[in-house]
Amino acid sequence: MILAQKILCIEDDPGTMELLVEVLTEEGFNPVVACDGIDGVRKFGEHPDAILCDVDMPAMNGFGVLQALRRSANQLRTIPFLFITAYGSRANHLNARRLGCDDFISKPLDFELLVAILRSRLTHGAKAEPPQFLLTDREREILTWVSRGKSSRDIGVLAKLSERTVNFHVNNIIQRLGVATRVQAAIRCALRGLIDP
Amino acid sequence: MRIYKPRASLMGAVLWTLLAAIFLFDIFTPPENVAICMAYTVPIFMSLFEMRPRALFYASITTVLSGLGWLVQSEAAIGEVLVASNLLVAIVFQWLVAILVRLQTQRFNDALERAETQRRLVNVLSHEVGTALTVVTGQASRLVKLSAQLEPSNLKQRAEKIRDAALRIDMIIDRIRFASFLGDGSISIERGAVNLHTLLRQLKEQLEDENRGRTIELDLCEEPQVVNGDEVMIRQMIENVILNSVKYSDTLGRISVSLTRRVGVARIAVVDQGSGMSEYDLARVIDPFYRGENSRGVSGTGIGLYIVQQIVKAHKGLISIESALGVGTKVAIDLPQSTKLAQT
Repeated sequence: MILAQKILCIEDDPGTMELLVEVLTEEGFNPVVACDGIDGVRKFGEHPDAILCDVDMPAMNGFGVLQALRRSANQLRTIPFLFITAYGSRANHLNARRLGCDDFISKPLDFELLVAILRSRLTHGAKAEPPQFLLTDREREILTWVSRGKSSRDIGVLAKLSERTVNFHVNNIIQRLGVATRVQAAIRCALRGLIDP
Repeated sequence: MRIYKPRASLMGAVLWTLLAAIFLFDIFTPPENVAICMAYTVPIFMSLFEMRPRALFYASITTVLSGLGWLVQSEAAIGEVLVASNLLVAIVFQWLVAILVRLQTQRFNDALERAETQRRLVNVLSHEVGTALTVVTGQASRLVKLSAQLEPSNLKQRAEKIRDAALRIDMIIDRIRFASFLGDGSISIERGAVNLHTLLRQLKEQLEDENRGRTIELDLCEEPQVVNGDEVMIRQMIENVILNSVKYSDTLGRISVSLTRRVGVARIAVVDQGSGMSEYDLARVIDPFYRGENSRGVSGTGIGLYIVQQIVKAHKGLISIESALGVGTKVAIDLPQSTKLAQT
């Protein structure tokens, strides 16, 4: 018998989690449940084949999980890591898909789509490293604050810049990455280890 | 991470240099050339490009400099009165420009503020509604897929989950609508005698009932406290504050509500031992749709305290919030006592 592939699901909303478990079990996966980021990092020890992780969670958010795992486990590169984010419209999401991006899945979740993405990531392995993409110091600073949930205005105060300048940098990064929203840009760069959330 | 030093000093340096240059020019030109004082309006205009424009501050500086320039110069050929009146015109101009710059800055900041509120609204909506919709669409598609084989009880359970999620979205929209009505003043406020003793006792009972296991301590002063206002709104206001305490403290944390009498006002204070807020969040917590660091993963719209503040304002009251991370939060609301009714 082939062992069912383990999927580590890190999600704090019980309604969503229930559905995730139901759908994944039905599709023949073995879901491992974690209700927040800290729990998620702990359960990485069960050697999952892929990780689904919510961005907005108490105690430790999705970016924190990614960073903690990257620090403690080198093999993370070979394990597909998919973010679930509620910050993004359908149009944004479609746009991101067309650009060939599947690092994140937007809420409201389309479970069929989620399973399809998961399957393809599991068969093709983690995505090959994309061509060189670098951030300037300023961009890295701003995007780090974005990943910590700060608004342009707050970032402006923190980095001693005008809000307009912050928006300029963020839009610049979004364009270069070919993503649709700032959270998606932060996800991309966090996955590549370009920022330290 | 690298910390950047402020660059604001660059523009400041340019402005001060300009001011000094104009002052020197003023001194070394003949005294009747008061028109040079008009040049002071240039740095005032340029202060627009500062991080935080201080037009009025520069106007006071230029006024002093203009005066100094006049004092240090020798007698003018055209008579002191004429020079003085010319100087006055120049100073009036400096202040006019400063006020213009000030107004423009204000307008710009207001526009930024509105854009920021809107952005937060979109964030809150997409997050809260997105989470609820996941349950709606997810459960609905499960129903479609499993329709043939589901037990009636399971079916009922799923339908209830869909309904609850839909009601949650409805509630979010209701709150946002209520807040926006309050904000633009299009809600009328009923006026009547509100007995805070009765209201707080009822509220304690209701909230303890709704949040099983939570006890809310009440500490009421002896003499009855009556305020003139809208009972429904005052109830909503206190409820919002108490529910915040319930939301951001664990089940063992104490929540106490006290009512005390101060000079001319009744003070309602809600104290908890919850997660508290940083100074940064505390400064912004009343802004509509603002959600602090500790609210991550806790569902909500970031609008509760904004509603509280609007209701307090409508009753000519005052609100103050103190908070410390990991220690707790204290919200105090002062409402003017109803003089007419207190006597009876």
